[in-house]
Amino acid sequence: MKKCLVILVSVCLCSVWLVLGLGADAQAAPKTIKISSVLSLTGKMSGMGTQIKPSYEIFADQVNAKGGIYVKKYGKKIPVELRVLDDESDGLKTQTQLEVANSWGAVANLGGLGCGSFEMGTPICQKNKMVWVGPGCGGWMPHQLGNEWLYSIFFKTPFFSPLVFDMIQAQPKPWPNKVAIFEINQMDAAEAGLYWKQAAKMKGFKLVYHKKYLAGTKDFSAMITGAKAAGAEILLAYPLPPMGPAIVKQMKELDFSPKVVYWHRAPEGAKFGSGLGELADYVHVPCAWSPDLKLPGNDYVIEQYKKKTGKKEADLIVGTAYTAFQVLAAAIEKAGTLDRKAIRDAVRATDMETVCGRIKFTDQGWAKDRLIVVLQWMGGKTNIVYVNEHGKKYGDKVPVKPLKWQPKWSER
Amino acid sequence: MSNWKHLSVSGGIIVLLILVPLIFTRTDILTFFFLTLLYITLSQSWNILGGYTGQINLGHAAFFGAGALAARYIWLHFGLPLPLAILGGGLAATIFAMIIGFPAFRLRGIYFVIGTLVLAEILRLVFYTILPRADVMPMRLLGAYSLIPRYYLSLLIALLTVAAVYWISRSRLGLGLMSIREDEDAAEASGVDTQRYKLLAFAISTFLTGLAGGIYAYYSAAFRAGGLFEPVWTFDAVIIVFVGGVGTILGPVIGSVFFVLLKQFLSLYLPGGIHVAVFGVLFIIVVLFLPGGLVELITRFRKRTSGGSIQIDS
Repeated sequence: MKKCLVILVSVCLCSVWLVLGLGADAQAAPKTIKISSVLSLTGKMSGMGTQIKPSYEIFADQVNAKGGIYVKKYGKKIPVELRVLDDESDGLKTQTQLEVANSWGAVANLGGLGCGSFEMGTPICQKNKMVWVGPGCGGWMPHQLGNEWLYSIFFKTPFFSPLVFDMIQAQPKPWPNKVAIFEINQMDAAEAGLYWKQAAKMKGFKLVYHKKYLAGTKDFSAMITGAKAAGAEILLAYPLPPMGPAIVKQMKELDFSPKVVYWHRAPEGAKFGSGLGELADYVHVPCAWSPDLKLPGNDYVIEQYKKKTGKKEADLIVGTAYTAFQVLAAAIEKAGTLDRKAIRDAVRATDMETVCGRIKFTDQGWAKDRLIVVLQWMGGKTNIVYVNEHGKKYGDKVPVKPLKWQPKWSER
Repeated sequence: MSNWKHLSVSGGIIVLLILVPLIFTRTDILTFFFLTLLYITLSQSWNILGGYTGQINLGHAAFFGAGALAARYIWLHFGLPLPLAILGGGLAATIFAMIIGFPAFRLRGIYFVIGTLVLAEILRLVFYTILPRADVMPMRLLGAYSLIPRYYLSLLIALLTVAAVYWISRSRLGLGLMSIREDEDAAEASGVDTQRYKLLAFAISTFLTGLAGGIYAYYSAAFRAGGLFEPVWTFDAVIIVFVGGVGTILGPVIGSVFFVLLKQFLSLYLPGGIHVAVFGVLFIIVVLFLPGGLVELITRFRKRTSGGSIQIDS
């Protein structure tokens, strides 16, 4: 009887040991931390994706060189495995690639930049409960839908749209006053158009021309002549990367030279400055990062980017993309686990200094109180010509140069 | 193959398809199956008008988009039950088709082709302009989103579509449609009411396309209204039908599997958009050397292995 009892207890203990052992085995540290990145590497937004990919890779290489990200649950550093998937600048493809990333077992997704992938892709992250961190887009609306898995490093339209008028009013008088808006039929551009109009009215500027156009438009001559006839001195627009150079060239042909050309998106593209050469001069673009920022870590990012891409200058989204990965890596370490929800919660609680300045998210998932600089293209590179109130606290680390009004084409 | 064999093979495939969500839990695999079934409905419905009736409709996207938009609005914005919404999508596409069908069928040949293409393009531009923002599924639905009911619904509608084409191909209506395809004037002279038959084929085709749109509205977490009218919805269906086998029941089914598999596989493993070029070259090869599509290849293979004469299932 006693013998039977000993055997029974032994069997029970063995079973418990086996179960616990197996359990521990199931919780063994994974070889890598899988992070996906769905980007536009081809198509109309490729000028953005091709900047973002090397930036993410630079961060991944940097982290892996130190052994990876420390995950408390496993008590050790685990290397990062970054899988980049091309969405071909097609929002539908963004969705299917995010499904691929989900099935692959990504713990989080590093997003791209652009309205289509942002609007169409981020609901998939909500559906699959996988946090999306990325440069994002200026659109505010996707943050109004209650998506708890979306975190964008960029500022949003209601907050950055008045910046152009603040910038002009910070210059010595006389200020240009007559505003023209070319509005592409996309969500973020529609929002910017609305807030530009409101801000112009509030700050005493006069809207003299406002025209909407389709995303596939190639001929802007009617709009340019319309704005020119209305005497526009400030041109505000949100063109797609391939459209920016087309508008500049057509403005030159039609001799339209407003004093301020202030555009979102297109002038950030990798080929805007190099493709247009001197024609790009005087174009303004608001950015969340600049290669001229003297914040800690920037020298490393710029040097690595140049080495990786063979370019002479770092492109304008490099720092923002690098920041997205900084935020995610810090969140994974803070979460201490690879559980998606824990990582999401840690991203939400982010409050850290990055190569882009301080990053802290609102409850809606956009970075609040962001340092934003306005850059002006000049001689094949960009200069910081204005910094918002949140950036002013960085003092000399944000070197501001004088803004130049655009002269007539004949005088350039 | 005898009827019994046909039935048992078809039944076996249906049972396997029913078991798919129980076997695979990965969302990318379920999405692949879902898209294949959606493309079967989309291409098979194009096949009714293009393959059996010989009326090349390059405005298929217009009806897909109309169905999807109607279904989404009925379901999410008017709050009606989903089955009603999907049915509403089918009906909306059909009503729209009937309105434009009368004038469209006065056009023949290339004029009909261009007319339908222009129609979809107009709708694409209109909807990109009037509805520029993405239609995103409410977060409460996204939070509880599951691919499984979407998969089963798409399976049901794909089966319904294949059954409808099977019935048409063996009916008096099918004979009438095929006679129009071969020679419209001769068909008219033989007593076929060509206008009525064409309209009937158009109605059935667009109803099924509208149902495909309805399923897509149920499936898609977010879409832009203009994107529903993109030419890709038409040309994908046309490519599938031609690669699979135009005017056959099996062609669009085989074509859809081939198309979705290849498209997904190539886009994943061939970077930089090369997959689009590779797919184009493959399409040209199929059209040049296999004008009857993959169904012809299978038939040739069966002929060779059986040594007898086997006819293409049309």
